[in-house]
Parts: sequence; C-alpha cells; structure tokens
Amino acid sequence: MKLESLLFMLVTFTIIAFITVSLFLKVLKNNKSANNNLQEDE
Amino acid sequence: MSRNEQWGTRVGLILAMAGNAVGLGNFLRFPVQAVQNGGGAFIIPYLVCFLLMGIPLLWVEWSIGRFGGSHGHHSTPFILDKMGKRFFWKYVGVFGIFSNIAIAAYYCYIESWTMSYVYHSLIGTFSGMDQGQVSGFFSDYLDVFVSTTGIPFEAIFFYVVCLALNTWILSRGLSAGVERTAIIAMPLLILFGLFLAFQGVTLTSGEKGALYDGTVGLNFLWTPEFDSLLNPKVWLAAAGQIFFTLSVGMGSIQCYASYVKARKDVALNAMSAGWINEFVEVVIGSCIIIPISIGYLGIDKVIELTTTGGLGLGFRTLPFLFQQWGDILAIIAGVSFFGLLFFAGITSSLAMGTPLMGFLQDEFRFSRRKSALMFGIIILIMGLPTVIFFQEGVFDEYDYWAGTISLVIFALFEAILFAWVFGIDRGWKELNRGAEIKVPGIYKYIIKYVTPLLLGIVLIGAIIRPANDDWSKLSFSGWELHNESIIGQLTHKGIKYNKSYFADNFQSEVSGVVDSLSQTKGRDFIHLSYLDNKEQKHSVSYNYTGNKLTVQIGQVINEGDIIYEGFVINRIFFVDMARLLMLSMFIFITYLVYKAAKRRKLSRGNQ
Repeated sequence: MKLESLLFMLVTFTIIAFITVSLFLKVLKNNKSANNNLQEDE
Repeated sequence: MSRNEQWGTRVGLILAMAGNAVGLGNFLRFPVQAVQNGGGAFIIPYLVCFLLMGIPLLWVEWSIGRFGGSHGHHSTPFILDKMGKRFFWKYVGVFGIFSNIAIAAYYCYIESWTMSYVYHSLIGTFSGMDQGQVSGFFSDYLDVFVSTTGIPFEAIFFYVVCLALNTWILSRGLSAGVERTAIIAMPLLILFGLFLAFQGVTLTSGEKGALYDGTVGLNFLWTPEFDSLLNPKVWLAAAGQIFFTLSVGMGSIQCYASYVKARKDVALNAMSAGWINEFVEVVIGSCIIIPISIGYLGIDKVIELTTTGGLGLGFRTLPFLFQQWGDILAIIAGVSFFGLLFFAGITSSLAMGTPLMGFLQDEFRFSRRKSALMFGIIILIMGLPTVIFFQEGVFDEYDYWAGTISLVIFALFEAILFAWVFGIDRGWKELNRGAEIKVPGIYKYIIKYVTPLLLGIVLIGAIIRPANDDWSKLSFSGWELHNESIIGQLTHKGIKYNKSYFADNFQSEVSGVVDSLSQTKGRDFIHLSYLDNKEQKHSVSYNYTGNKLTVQIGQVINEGDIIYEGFVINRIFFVDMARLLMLSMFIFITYLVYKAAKRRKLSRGNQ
C-alpha cells in the first residue's frame, strides 16, 4: 500500500474514531442522569 | 407511537437514531461511490458536505422534532404547521410521511433479501457454486416465479415475513420495540462489521484463492486523486451520499426526536448518532466489500461490477468469494455480512414506520397496534409492485423519486422553514436548550445561509444534470441532459425504443448478437450480447413468453430492430404506473392531513 494512501486512510480513520468515541463517552457519562431527569419530568 | 410513548434510555435513543442512519448504503453504496468518484479524494468533499450540510440538517431535524413533541405532535405535517403558521406548511410536511412509506416499501424488499441470504448462507446453498451460478441464484431469487428453496413465490414470502417482523416490532412501541431492537442490533452490526473488515484488510495474496492482498483494494480506495475535487459531479455525489447515509430529509429523525423531553439535549445526541454513522460507513464500510472483491477479482473487474451499483457486488459476488475461505468460515462470513446488512436495514425501516404511526395516533386516535397494522398493510400494498415488477423498473422508480428527489425537496423546505420562517434566533435557542455541548457559533450562519444554498444547488443540479456528468458542457445555448436528471426522468429520456405502453412487437434496445434462447419455469427468454463504448462485453435478456421470435441464434441485430412480435407490455407502462401509485399515495396522505386539520379546527370550536 502506498504511504500516501495509508497515511490518508489512517488519519481519516483516527479522526472519525476519536470524535465518535469521545461523543459517545460523553453521552454515556450523562446516561443515568438523563433517566433521572426523565422521571422528574413526569 | 403516541404522546404516551417515550425513550427508555438515552443510549437507546442514540442507538436507535444511529440505526436509523446506518443502512445498507453504508456498506454497499458508500464504497462504490468512493470508487467512482476519485477514490480517497472523495472523502474530502464527503466530509465537507457532512460538516456544512449533514451536521446542520441533523441539528435542524432534531430541534424541529423536539419542538413538535413538546406541542404534542409526532409527525412532520403538524410539527411544520406549528412552526410555520401558514396553512401550506402542513402540506409540505406530507413529504415527511410519504417518503418514509415509499422508501420502506422497497427498502423492506432489500431487507428481505438479506434475511433470505442469511438463511442460504447458514444452510450452505452457495457451497460449490461458481461465480456464474451465485450470480444466477440472485437473478432467480428476484424472479417471483422461481423458487430456490421450494417455497412458492419465495421473494414475496420473505418480503411478507420481513414486513410482518417490522410491524410486530413497531406494535410493541418505542421503548420495548424500536429501542430494544436497536440495543441488540447495533452492537451486533458493529461486531460483524469489524470481523469482516479484519478479514478484508488481512486478506493475503495466494492464500484462500486470493489474487491480491486486501491492502490493494484499500490502496485503490484511499489513493487521493485531488484533480477530482474540481469536478462538480464528485461534489454532487458526495452531497447525495451524505443525504442517504444520515437519513435526513425523510421525517423519521423529527419523529424520533419528538419523543425527547423538551428540556433534554439534542445537540450532543444528534452529533453522537451522526458520528456513529460516519464511523460505521467510512471506517468499517470501506474495509469490507472493496478490499475483499478486489482481492479476488482485481481492480478492473470490480470497477466494471460497480457501474451497476453496490447491490450486484454484495449479492452476486460476495457469497461466491466467501466460499473461498472454506466451509465453516464461509458460513460465518455469509451470516456476518448479510446479518449486518439485515440489522442495518431493519433499524432503518423501523424508523420509517414511526412517522405514519405517530400521525395516525395523534390525529385519528389510533391505538399503537392498529397504527402498526396500518403501516404493514400500506407498505404491503405499496411494496408488492416493487417485488413483482422488480425487473420492469418499479423498484428503481421508487428509489429515484421517493428515496432521492423527495429527500432533497423536503430538506430544502425544512431548512428554509427553520432558518427563515421560524427564525434563526428562535431556532438557535431551540437547538441550544439543554445542550450538553457548545454548538459552535459559526453554525448559526451555516444553518441560515450555507445549508439552504447547498441544498438549492443539489436540487438544481439534479434537475439540469448534463449527460455523462460533463458539467463543462453547460452553456446558454443548451446541453444534453443526463437520463437520470429530473427533466430526463420526467420525459423518459432513457427510453429510446418501445415507448408505447402496449405494442404488437418489441424492438431491441442494444446492437449485438443473439447469443441463445432459454426456458425457465415455462417462460421463454432470448439472450443478446453486445459491446459497450469501452469494448466490454455485456449481455441482456428479454422475456418473450407467448410471443413469436423474429430473429435467430447468431443473428446480428441493430438497435431498434424488431426481435419478437405478439402482445407486449413495455417497461414504460410499469414505470408510469409506479409513478401514479406514488402520486396517489402522496395525494391520499395530503387528504388525511386536510381531514386532520379540519378535525382540529372543529374540536377547537367545540371547546
């Protein structure tokens, strides 16, 4: 595999994976509290 | 889905939204689009479109949905009515129910193929078949009169089973049905995807019959051709892919988001679901179908196969390639691939069911079960023509008008409504209410100016698309339109011969040679071979059952030559009937919205 292609692919994969995981972890962190609030709303 | 419904957990909501976005296109359409539009360079316009059109539309749709839900509306007609005040907005909202019904009608058919292929992979149907036989199996499967299992009308049988499953899950409600399915399906989908991606990337030349390493395919896919960035075709393809992949412009995101409480976050949720889709599409999707198929077939053959889209590669080729991995691994790979496609499909088709259900429950007080059943019946009525007349182009017609054009039109309307009618200041406030991330201020301007402008360009591009996608040919003196431009489609530009609904003869659509005649289940076929512009050989088959042939095997024929006589129903008839059916559905939903509005007015008068 050409270095140019490999780098392009890896950089893209890393950026997308990093953003996806960071956002999902942020959601997970507040998952429980969201449920509590849900009950409060009712 | 009614006002009593709600999401069980936030993760469940995100997985359901991600499942709505992750569909068959992530694995079959994206890699093919990348191959056809500059390889690695495609990712640049793709990501730019994601940032300027995808993310803003996700935020707009989530905000619109939550706003509607807080006023007791769970489908776009009356959500838009609440936002826009003017009477016509509720009729614009009809797109948000119509698109889902029309898309679900043919989408459930593809979903049923994946269900059937999981079964066939499990029982080893493809074992010992050569590539021609595997490809022929798919053709047989699409022919409703041929059975590959002994079940009569097999394609219809699997379609009905698939639709019944969707209906049953929907009847269980948002939390116990849709959310629970997403919580099971999404992790499994990612697991299957990672397994196949690993197999694709580690494919080694000389092992298991592979001609090339898996990295050859990756290299081909990821080599950036920066020249292609100047080609409008590539940008329009990237914008189109963003539409399909995020399921924006449909009305399903608004419906899901309408069950989010008024003070809950939408900004982070929308981003999380959107980026999960990008991860599945770009990271996993690019490591499966292209590396594996190029590893076995080489680049030229794969380019040839992708000219007809990703479905052929997925269903005609991959089952054969998996057989090269040995009996056990072939079963695991087959079940993984078609299983992941099935999960991707069902999590999307469930989302397509909720807007109609929300509408029926809100406006006509249908119970959850009754509205799910109505969804099943309507989809069956709309979907059966796509199954029975698949070869006659009904499926493609639905895909074009409902799955492509309607989405762009509706997205453009809602972007204008949100930013210019509802007002960007109110919209921005709506988006930021309860937000758990800081939405960059620049997006206020992107949502107001850039996104509607881009959507307008995409729509105009679709209307005036030039032949061969050669945008340099545009001039004030006119240019030849692409067969798939909106004008080209409306005028049946792609149909040169056999232009009447019914005829007493059939003219060949290609210049070539009569190769052979065959008979399947009492039906007669004539097979012609021809060379394309690049001197590549192709074949085409016509069903001439009950008619009299006017040509012989080996005879050279030209385009327009009569090849059989008798009574012929031409493809154009089925195409126009499909359009009529879709138009009738649109008018029917418009009428229901009118009735619902009248009922609301009456009940307000009585209070």
